[in-house]
Amino acid sequence: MGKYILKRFLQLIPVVILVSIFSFLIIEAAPGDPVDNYVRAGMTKEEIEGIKKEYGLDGNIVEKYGRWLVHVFQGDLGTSIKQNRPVAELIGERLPNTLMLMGSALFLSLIISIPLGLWAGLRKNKLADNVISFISYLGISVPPFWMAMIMVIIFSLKLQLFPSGGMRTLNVYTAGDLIWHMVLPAFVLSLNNMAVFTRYIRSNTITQLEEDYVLTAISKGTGKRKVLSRHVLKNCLLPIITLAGINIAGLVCGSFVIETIFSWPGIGRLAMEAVGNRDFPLIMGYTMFSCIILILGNLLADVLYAVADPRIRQGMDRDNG
Amino acid sequence: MKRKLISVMLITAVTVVMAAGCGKNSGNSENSDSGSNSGGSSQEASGEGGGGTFVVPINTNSVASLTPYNVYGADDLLMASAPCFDPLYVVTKDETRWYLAESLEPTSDDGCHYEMKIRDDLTWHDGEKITADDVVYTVNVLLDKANTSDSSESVTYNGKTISAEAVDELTVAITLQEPFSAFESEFGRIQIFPEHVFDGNTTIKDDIENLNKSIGSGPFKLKEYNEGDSIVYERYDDYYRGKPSLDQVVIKLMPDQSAQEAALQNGEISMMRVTNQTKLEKYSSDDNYTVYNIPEARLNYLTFNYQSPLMKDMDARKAICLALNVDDIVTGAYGSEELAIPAKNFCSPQNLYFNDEMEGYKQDIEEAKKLAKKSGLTERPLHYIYFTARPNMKETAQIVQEQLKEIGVTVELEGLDGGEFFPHLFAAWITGETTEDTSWDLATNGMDQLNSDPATKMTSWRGELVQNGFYVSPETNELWDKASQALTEEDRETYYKELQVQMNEDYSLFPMANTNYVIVARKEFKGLDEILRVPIFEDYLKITME
Repeated sequence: MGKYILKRFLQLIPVVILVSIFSFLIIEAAPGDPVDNYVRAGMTKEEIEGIKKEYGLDGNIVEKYGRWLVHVFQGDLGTSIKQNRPVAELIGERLPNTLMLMGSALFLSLIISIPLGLWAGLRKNKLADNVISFISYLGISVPPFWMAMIMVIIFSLKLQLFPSGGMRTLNVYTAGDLIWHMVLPAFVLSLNNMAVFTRYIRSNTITQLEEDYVLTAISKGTGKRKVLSRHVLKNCLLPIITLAGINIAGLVCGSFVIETIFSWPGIGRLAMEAVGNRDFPLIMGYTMFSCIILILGNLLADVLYAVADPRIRQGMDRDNG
Repeated sequence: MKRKLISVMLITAVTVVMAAGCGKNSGNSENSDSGSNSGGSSQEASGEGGGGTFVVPINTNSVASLTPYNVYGADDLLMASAPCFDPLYVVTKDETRWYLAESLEPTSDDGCHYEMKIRDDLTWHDGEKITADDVVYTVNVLLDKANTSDSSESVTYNGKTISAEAVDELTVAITLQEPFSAFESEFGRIQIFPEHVFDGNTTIKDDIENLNKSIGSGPFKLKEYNEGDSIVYERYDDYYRGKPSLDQVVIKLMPDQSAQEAALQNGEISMMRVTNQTKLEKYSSDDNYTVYNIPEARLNYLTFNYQSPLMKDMDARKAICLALNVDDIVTGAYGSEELAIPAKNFCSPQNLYFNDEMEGYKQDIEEAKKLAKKSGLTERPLHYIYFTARPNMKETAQIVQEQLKEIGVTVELEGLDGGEFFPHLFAAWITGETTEDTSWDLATNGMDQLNSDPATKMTSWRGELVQNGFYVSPETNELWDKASQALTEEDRETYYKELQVQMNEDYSLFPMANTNYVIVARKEFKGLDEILRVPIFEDYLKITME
């Protein structure tokens, strides 16, 4: 297992480098020069060159990329052109907010989709199944920004149950207040995953219920509830671990929109502004960071899957000698 | 095992819901104590003179520095720093409002020497006395090129820097290299910084810690800065003009317009800007809100790329100016005169020396058709660029496209974000050299003129570099020099009025709209109508909560 994790970590390096190259190329191809943020009327050419040098914007694309990469390996993601602060510091300040939102969304999607998926699977083609399926399809197909606005209108403006945005009430520093502000954005961010997980668990439940071991257990007189909780549930939930890892990508992308609509001070909003400002060190920092979160999320899912399923673990050990 | 797991998950979920409920309660209870919360509707007046919290949204996700050393031309950053940093004084067409300074007098007849006195009762928010040294220090900070600050333009006129020297504790001597009519307007708006906080170092760009201490001179002092979320200011009790009525002013970082609207309706912010007729009508008819309409001293204009071979031809520019109907543009793009009025020339009515006898361009389709054909405008499509983030620009572009179709001119529209648009529009000005750019022919943009001298922000319309982007005739250039360097009020008025006529005769731009800054505020807040300056707000003492 240890060797497998090490191997996966080593595989990370070329992937991250490839992503950084593509990101760099895209930023370079984008119109507008980041140095324009700093050039002022009346500056001499030498002064402009000095600024370019200070922010690593001089030279051709290979030189710029090489310099950036060397700094990254030294633990320096550069300095934001617009905010004049280290990129790592800016991301670090807002990262907990985004992780909190993403974590809550993932948690919400799991605790809601598991019972719904199981119930729908058990009640295949009955009213409950049809209702849950309808809601799931809605969750998959409705764009998050639209759902976010609907949630704000209903739960914030009409019912006044939750705030329309922000992370906390002024002068209030309680965890409860934080959670109160997080309910709507986390719920909207979780909707897509919730719907996908529900469909997946439903389908798995139906498949598992038709398996021989279930039929044998029932024919031996084991209660349906016991069969469900002891055997079916475990086998249904295993693939969800992988699915959750893969769907972290959706959470990262979703945080862009959700953080903007709910004024949540996370890295998604930071990145949105960085793109508008052509703040290339910050864009690169955010891209790298998201890339690593995605890859680590998938790695974590694989490892958890192996921990939960001995067959996978044995397979890994065999493959890695 | 599974049952345990499910139980733990259920307990966690119940805890989350309960905590959420608790959070709501605790939020409300604390708010009623302090008279401030994210919900304006539940704000209760408290403290001396009313109390309450006024929450202002700004259209940005981040504020690089709480000390305003780089805010020139950045409305959001000016709004963010205004409660904490007072200007020296504010010159408008009608009056001069004195803040930190109490007088500014010329000390010579050449228009190059002045003495400014600041008040004797000023203190920084850390209790230190504000002196003339702080003014001199601030000028030197703004002049320090290492800070790469746009604000250097408020101490540099016609490319020539000023110098400042402390005469005594309260008097500053200021020397210009040449007279400049906008000096008084520009210099007064400077928000000064405390020398002692930065140990006298003028290169402050990287001193993030001290920049974000935000030790200011205004009616509110920094309480806390929540990165990416809000800046919370609280009342400064030793403020030299008396205690403010409000307890707190909060600057909320909220660039999304729909989020702002939801927050306003929910009482989480106290006001927001409105830029379209639908919203204006909606809030005007709602008793829970008050609508304020402040002339913005802004010109939205259509300009021509002088590097585009077609646009060098005055007949082509004239054809476009005569083809457009400014009234229809304002009605179509803005909706009503409450949001904008048709512009007559490059000045706005709030500018000093505004030529109110001019009528602007009159539409003449037949003449425009002839000129369009003669100049070759009808032979190829014109490329029109606009800044998508600026209100009403897209609608304006679409109406221009329709109106030019009537004289047989085809226009292709392209909306750009700021990072792409401005390097096109101000290529030569930004890079400091002639930049070949024939990729666009027409563009619409807006220009803030700060209620004062026409040269305040119009310097970008004169000089050799500008000629690489916009059309500036030799006569115009000469009048700019005469007007901006005139020594008497009478001469300035004469030359600036001639200049307005000359620029219209050059067909150097098509003035479109003088916009109003329309804000909707929750009805419990009063005094916003006295804020006659954009970007809002200059004087927070006038805002009260009932």
